Amino acid sequence: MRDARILTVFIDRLNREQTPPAAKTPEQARLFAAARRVKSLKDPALPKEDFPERVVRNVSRKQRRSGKEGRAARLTAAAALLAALCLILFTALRDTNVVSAVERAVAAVEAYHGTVEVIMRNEAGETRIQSLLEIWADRQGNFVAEVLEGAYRDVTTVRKGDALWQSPGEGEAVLPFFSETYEFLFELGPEAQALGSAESVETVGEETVAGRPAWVLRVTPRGGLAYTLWVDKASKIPLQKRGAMHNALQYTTRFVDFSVEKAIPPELLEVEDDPEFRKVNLILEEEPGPGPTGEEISFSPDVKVEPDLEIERADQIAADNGHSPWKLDPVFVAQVFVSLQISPEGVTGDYPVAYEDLALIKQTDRYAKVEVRGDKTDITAVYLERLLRQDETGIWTVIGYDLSR
Amino acid sequence: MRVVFEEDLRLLEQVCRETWLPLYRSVYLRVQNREEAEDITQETYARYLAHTGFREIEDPLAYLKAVALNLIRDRWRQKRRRGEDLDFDALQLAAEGDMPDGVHQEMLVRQALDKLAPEQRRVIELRILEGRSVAEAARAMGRRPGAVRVLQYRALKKLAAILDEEEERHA
Repeated sequence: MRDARILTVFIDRLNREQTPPAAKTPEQARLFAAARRVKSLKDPALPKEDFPERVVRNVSRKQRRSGKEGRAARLTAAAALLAALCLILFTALRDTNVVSAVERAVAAVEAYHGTVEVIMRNEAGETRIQSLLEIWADRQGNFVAEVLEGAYRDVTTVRKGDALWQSPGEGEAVLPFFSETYEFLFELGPEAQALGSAESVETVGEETVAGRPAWVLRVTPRGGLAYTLWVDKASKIPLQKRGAMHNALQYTTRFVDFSVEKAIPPELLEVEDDPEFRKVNLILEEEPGPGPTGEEISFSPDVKVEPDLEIERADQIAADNGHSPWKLDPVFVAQVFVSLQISPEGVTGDYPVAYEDLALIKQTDRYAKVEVRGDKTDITAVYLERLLRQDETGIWTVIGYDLSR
Repeated sequence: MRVVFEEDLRLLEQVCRETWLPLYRSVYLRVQNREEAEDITQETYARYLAHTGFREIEDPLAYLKAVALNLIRDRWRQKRRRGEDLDFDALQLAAEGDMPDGVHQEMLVRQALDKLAPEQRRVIELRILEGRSVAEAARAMGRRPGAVRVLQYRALKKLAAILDEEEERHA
């Protein structure tokens, strides 16, 4: 029922007067068109009264800048200088205030509901939406997170007290919160705490995120890499977080919609007797051994692939220098491998197997298993290993695959 | 990029004052959200001002509406390129792009809603016409949120089918 969930996001966005997600199938396009037509029975939401003035101002500013009119340029420079002065004053006065305002605002939130988008960017500046998650979370640390788009599509994870539950109830447990640290992305309580304990927080500007004016904060934690945080000016809730470029990859996590709620709907937490859910343990603390040990059974491919270590060493050096960052992503490596099995002469245009058709179902520091969905290939799973370095900087190499029987 | 003079900006101001509301409404009718409608309306005026012969345009509103419709089409095509290669431009535009008559459209949608089962109609009213969240709709209907999502999906699927049939009949 993926379309049912996407449709929910679409309607929620329309209801909040925000740009909805694009249809990706004809069926979604039909449903979205029908939803829009029903909404057209309502009066349109009009912009604020100053909209025509704002339009003229923005359009003229854009044209003046492009036309390089001398007077406009001088005015713009003066305005920029004034803005810079204001910003310096603002920064000097605001930082502590912003941090305590965020802490107070987050502390007042009993629960919240939103859609979180995770965007991955490589050094070449190419971006890709890695996942879209619907999140319910509360102050006690409980959450319900459903993956709407991405490698773990349709996986719902529920944290209730100390226990973790996951649906679908079959197959291996997966880690749907794909970040550098595999943590629940952008949980507001920990974000506010991190802000409060940071070594430094500097207000570096103002921008609009998801249509809302926001402060841009540069946060340097005590240990770890600096990151940028966007905080909604009206509610003081963090809306977006962008990590540093690390291993040639940079992640941006943001709320595309957000609402404060009194509690997580209790029905969503009723998982104990739900046959679609099973209790799981997602803590990734297993130490990588020198080779497949207790997990050997899981890592026994139908067909073994002998890697060329010389090539892998060259690729590792390239990745260390910021090239071929996709080799650090096991799903991407699997996508390229499966695509080349389908088109051995090389891939032109889109890969024959979409990224969304692959799912990372198991990963340790050394090994990963990626499931291949759909009917475009006989390959059903790809096995990968970090042959040269078993940490986040190590590239992934295909060591085997399973075929449909 | 052409140089823009003060008199151009004065004309833009005058045209914007006279046309922004019908233009915005026409864009909103198609996209049904304020964020996108504001963006497209502003971009439409930017294109208008960038057009070298804009002073000679006799009916600015008609011109602006045509530009806006093209911008909407471009956006949908861009989105399609980013997604799968599917031919649903025609589907969306036939349904939303060239709405012939507001009153006729409204009647058609209301008649289609009347043909739904009461629960289906109710869920669409709550979710879209009243703008309630899934959780609120679930409480109002005494159902689980998951059930509301499925009901809403089936209701809109049914509604789309009824609208298709009605349009074919009228065509």
